[in-house]
Amino acid sequence: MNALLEVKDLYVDIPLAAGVLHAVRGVDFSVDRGQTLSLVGESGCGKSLSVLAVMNLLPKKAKWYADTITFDGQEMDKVRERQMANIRGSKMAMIFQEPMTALNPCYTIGNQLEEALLRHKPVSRNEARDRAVFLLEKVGITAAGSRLKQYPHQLSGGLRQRVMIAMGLMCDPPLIIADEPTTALDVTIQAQILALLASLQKEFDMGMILITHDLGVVARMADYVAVMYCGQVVETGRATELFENPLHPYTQGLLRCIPVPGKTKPGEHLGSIPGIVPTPIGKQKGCVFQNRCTYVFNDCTSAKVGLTRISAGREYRCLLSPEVCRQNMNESQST
Amino acid sequence: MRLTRTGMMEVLASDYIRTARSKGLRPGPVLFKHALRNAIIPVVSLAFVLFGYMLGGAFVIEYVFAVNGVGFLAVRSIERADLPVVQAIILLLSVIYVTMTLLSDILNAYLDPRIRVK
Ligand SMILES: Nc1ncnc2c1ncn2[C@@H]1O[C@H](COP(=O)(O)OP(=O)(O)OP(=O)(O)O)[C@@H](O)[C@H]1O
Ligand SMILES: [Mg+2]
Repeated sequence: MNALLEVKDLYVDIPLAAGVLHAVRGVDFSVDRGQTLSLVGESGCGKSLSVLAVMNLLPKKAKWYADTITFDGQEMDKVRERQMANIRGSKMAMIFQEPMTALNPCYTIGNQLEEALLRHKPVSRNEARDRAVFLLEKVGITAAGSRLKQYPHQLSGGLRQRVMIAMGLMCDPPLIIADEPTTALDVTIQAQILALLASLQKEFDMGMILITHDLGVVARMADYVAVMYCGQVVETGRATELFENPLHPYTQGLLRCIPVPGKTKPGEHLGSIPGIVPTPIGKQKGCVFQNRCTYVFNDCTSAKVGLTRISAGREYRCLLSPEVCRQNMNESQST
Repeated sequence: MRLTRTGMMEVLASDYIRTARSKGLRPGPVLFKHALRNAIIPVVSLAFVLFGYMLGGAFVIEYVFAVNGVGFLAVRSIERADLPVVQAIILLLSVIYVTMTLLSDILNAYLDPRIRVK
């Protein structure tokens, strides 16, 4: 059984005045129908660019190449932009980070919703409108019929993000990519939108890639997780396993940054990861995390650090053995 | 023209163009439906402001090149202190200018729903 989307060895380069920015360096991930894969990592680690490359929506100057990208049994690197345009929207849809700017201010939301369906399916305007109303109600917008005539600036951020979700669902795509769908929204709305996404995913049996930097969100939503750091996947696995038994020092650091109810005492300092992310411009030798890692040793600065496979779908990118990694985590927790 | 070009480049790099492309729209609709309308809004406002300058420019040009026109007539009338004609011309040009400005506002409101008021 092949996965719905399988990405192998994806690279994205952006030429800049200061040199070539290797924003994504050899990323693998895969999603299946009905599953949620979460890409986590701090700002600028290349999460957005990875999925934009899959949709062939990168900024013009950015170059991407991959070993293979298969989607729905089809090899995508051989697919040209023309065919790609047929797939976008109908088979994979994307929800963007910024609901404030992602809708065209000049057209009503009805117009923008209907257009997504009219582009791909031989339906009439009225049918498209019915579908739009149906989906707006699904995403929890009341008086959907009259909302269709409104312009984006007349809606709040939460509503716009709901509209974006409805727009993604217009053609009932097997894969939906949500790029930090809730970062621009306030906390109460965030919870609603996430719950909504989770229930829609179940209902329409979609595969979902959820990009976020919030591990709380990952814990609630994801089946599989890929932790990214500086353009690479440093650890992947089932969400439950990864949370229980984080191996890579970076993942461990991230997990130490979240307060645990009952365990973190009030007033106690939360963990943080010291140091800064290395510049992604130019080639790098050794482990990408070396300058911030507590357990760094000589080999880290010179050896090529590849992904080590522990079991199917469970991999990590560190020179230390899993046992040592586990021990490190336990020690750091007990102090 | 340059404003259209830079405006268009700016618009083409914007988020909603990416959204439009993410729906699978072909380059045609993306350019002419989603991009052009947004890019043309500042151009329309500017064009009408420039029209005002052109009215002023007409005075100078017509006088310098002795072209028979409103501007030429106006300058001659001022020289001869022909008050009624001067008044008439000023009134006429003001009316034209105000109408044009109104037209620009209406056109802009049509193009850009954000500045519409109920
Ligand atoms: N158009 C661009 N031009 C130049 N550099 C870019 C461009 N887009 C992204 N980058 C760079 O590529 C790197 C990865 O960007 P990306 O948008 O994928 O980050 P991200 O992981 O999505 O972060 P965030 O959580 O902030 O969305 C960053 O260092 C960013 O500065
Ligand atoms: Mg991003």
